[in-house]
Amino acid sequence: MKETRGYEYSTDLLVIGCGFSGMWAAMRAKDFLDDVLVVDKGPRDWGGLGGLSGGDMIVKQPDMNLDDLLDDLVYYYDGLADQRILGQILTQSYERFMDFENWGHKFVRNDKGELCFIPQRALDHMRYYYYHPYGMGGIEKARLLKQECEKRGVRRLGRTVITDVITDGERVTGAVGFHSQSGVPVFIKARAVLLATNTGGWKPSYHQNTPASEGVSIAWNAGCAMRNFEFWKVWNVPVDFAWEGQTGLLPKGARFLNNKGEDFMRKYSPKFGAKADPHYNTRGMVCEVRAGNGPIVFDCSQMKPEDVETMRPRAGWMGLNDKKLRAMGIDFFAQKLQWMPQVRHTYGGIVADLDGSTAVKGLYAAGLARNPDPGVYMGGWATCITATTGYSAGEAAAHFVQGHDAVPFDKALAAEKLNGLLKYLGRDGIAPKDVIDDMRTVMSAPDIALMKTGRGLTRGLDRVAEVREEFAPRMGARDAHELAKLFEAQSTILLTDLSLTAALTRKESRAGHFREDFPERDNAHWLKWIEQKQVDGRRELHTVPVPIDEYPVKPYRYYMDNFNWPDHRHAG
Amino acid sequence: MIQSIDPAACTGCGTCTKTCPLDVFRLVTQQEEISPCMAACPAGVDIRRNNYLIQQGRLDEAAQNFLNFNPFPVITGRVCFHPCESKCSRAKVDEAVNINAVEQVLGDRLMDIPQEAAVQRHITRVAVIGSGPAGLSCAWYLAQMGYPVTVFEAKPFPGGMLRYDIPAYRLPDEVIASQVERLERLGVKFCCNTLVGDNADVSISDLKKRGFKAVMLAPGASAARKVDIEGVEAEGVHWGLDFLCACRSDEKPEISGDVVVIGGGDVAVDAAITAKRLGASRVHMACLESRDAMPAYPHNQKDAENEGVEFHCGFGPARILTEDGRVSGIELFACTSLKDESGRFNPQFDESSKLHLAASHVIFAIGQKSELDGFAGDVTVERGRITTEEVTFATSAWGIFAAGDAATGPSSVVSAIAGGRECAISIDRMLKGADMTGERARKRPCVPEEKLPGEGIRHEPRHERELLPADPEHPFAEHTKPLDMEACFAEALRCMTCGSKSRITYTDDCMTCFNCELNCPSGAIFVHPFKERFARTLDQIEVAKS
Repeated sequence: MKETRGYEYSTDLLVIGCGFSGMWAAMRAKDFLDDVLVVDKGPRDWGGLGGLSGGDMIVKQPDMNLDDLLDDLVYYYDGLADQRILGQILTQSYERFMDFENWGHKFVRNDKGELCFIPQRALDHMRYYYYHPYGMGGIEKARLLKQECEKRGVRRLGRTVITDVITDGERVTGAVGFHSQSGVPVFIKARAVLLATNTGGWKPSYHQNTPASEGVSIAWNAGCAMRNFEFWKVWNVPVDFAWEGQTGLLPKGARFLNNKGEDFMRKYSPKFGAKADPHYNTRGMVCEVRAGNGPIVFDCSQMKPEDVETMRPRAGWMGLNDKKLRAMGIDFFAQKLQWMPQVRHTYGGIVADLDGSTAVKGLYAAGLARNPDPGVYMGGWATCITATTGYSAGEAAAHFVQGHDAVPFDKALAAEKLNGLLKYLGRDGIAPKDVIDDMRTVMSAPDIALMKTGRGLTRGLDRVAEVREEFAPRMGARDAHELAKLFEAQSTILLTDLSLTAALTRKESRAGHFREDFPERDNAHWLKWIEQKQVDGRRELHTVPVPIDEYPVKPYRYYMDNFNWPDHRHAG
Repeated sequence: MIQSIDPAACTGCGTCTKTCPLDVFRLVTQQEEISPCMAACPAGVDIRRNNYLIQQGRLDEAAQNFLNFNPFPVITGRVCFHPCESKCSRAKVDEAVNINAVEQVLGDRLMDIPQEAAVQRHITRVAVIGSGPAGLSCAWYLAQMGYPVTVFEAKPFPGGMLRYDIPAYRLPDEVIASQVERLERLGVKFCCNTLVGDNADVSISDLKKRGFKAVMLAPGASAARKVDIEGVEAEGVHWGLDFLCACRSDEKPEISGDVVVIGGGDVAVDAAITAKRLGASRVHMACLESRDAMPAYPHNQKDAENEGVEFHCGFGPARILTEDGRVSGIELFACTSLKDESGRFNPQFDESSKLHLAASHVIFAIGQKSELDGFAGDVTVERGRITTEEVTFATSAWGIFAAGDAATGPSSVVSAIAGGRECAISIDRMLKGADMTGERARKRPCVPEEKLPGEGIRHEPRHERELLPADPEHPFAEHTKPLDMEACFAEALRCMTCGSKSRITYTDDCMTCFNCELNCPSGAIFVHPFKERFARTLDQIEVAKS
């Protein structure tokens, strides 16, 4: 046999990504539709990054006032908060929290039966609820979501990389991709498509190697506007191994120390110390190393023994990790271990309405694929966002399908789009992973990663252009596995480009974005979002003012004002 | 980072390959020890490898691999009794893998691929007598080897028992026709309406004179066994295979009222369901055996139950009741024992315990036999079967081979296909002057029980083909719907690929998530907690000059 044929599927709603948001969306959509198909480039039912997380969840409990929580977020996001979507996320969070509880997933309660929580970022009302044993919260939630999907008859497919959504020029008609182990084309006819792909990052290990910006690529090529790409997550991580839980450890007394044993964040923020968002801590680390105070270590010695007990992982990957480390003589809670900042993924996402609908008719986005955050993060927030936006986008997509007849799927067009990628299959050439590594290296530079400068960002963009022109066309994929990496590499180039371009454009500092050459907040010019989209094959960048007048909370205090950084504008 | 897999501990269950988010692992399925399903398959199909190929999305490769063992998955995917499933290790976890349904998907996929003509490598012609599963299989493999093959068939159309004895709702005409067409495209010639044998249209010696250097006999066992009891001559009495054969013709028997089928085998089940679909009000099946000893395969019994067939087990026919020369019912005696002390079939009845069933038709499906008189002068025939050697399927006459029901007695389609394949191998070896037996008698060992996966495997529900209700307009339309693609993949993923070995293939893609080690049921995997080292931001910072 000479010809390998494609696999063809037909469904009412195609959900791309089988993580938390994808499963929430599929499950909810199936309440209304005959057929819902979820595909994932990873294994079938694997549960996405949520399955590897602690599973902690921020929730607006019924006795909380929404405006109080919004007030916290407007403060925390330095005014750049999309209060409409944040309000909806918070409002719906309790129902989803109760869904978990009703499925048998009980969050930790104290002896009086009160829910236990850990405050986040020293904010008054943002707090997450957690599961015990620590280490099983994400795994258990993933299991329950899969169970609910299965119960409802959601169809699931693994190892399927979607490369493009297909439209008839106006409305989504399906998607195309390939099987990640065979390279066989996959054609999916769908009346609506929902992107639950996360956005992606620079494959930094520590469990975030899976979303590699394919979702960004799909949405970009479909014509969606993309927002918030100047913000990216720089996480603090142990140098040698992975550890989940710093958002719980820091509020319970853990600290970062410099080589003099100083809790240096007290210097930069006497009020918060190291309890703030990790991005502020990473800036502190840079300042310390510049001052010759590196390396940086993590210190749990000030934590209460009962808190150590609570936060010591007992099961799942975290428990196994801890056990192995201790066998090697590494006790996370007893020793001062070296940590570092690491660029992980973008906070940018797809611009979508409250219900998840994008600029493309029939195309929806949910979860971290739409990323409403300006570069700062709270523990338990992803579980909240994925549950609420997944659920509501699934419902909206289902209603869209109910209200619209099927439209023809142009398989030839889909095949043509896919052939742009399949032509690399079986071809020897530059390893796609080298390209990804190059983009990761670009992003790791201190004047790009953390203390951004125009010079650093421009240098990064020059490298993106060089890699895109010189190396990307010469990539090869010796097998289907490498073809999947090649698509990741192409997408990572796009991601890096979008990120550096947006960061260069925002000539101020705010929330997760710190420009060392523009260290001040500039409300007059930059209380706005930067959006980029593709029009006729070209990038269009524009800004959207934050509609403060329409929002319940007006910015009057700024989280960033709690920090003082040495002015480095004229140094070096 | 992933560091090692202990090959001695690995059971090949594939949990790592199925759950690794970064797709780091691959299985090596080609092992000396075979899986229980492969050992159980009369054709020795490499089920383990096929299922793993499907798990990897390599469906077409799996289909091609299937052809190395059985050229007709499109047929066996519909009618095989799938002994593989009864030996499937997965049954101890939840339920056996639906191997047969996956096989049907492979077969259906092959139907869409245009068959190319085989390259002719040999001048020597081979004759195949009979176009049932054994004959077609033999012809397929011989043609693939490059021999000119002619298939002789006594009936008007090729297919033998596939075409005439299996109801169309289980095996549609177009499926068989498509396979015949594939064989024709391959270069096989069919000569229908031609009875071979002494005193027939052409004899074996005629064939030899015509240049056929090898002959493969596969005349099948299509003659219904009959019983002589009071009333069998009445109008409304039918004989199993004759009845089923008539139903595949344009002049189907007219059935109305109640029907009693005598017999508890698969032909009886087919006859019962067929009668129902032809318009019977009620259909009864009566057999000598107890319900749990009924010879029909359980899945076929279930089909009959679903069609509303009523079972009367432990009864044998005493006499047929008639009115005006037509059947009006049947009287049965309770069967007290089936075999005598020496184990020979010798049913005993309690004539005081009677069962009367009113009926307009009685169908006897009490066995079948081969008609071999035409070959008895050429090859040894004993107890109604052509005598063959165990491995080579050679008959008593040099150059003549035999397989299928005529050689083995009534058996399964898949056994006949396997026999046909082995005849082809023997014929090839004989014609080339090679040793016919060679290492063919050697059986590969099966994975020992203690090394089979099962413990710690997560439950996943089995996917079944949808059983379609009979359409009154088209009562013989196919009765099941094949698995859709997603269900096929999901079902293949349930396969534990027993006895394979996992291999770390894309080492550098590991993200140290520990999923593999946590999920490995046999504790074979070791992940080191240290992750890979990338460019570090802090290392790129210059200490400011004070």
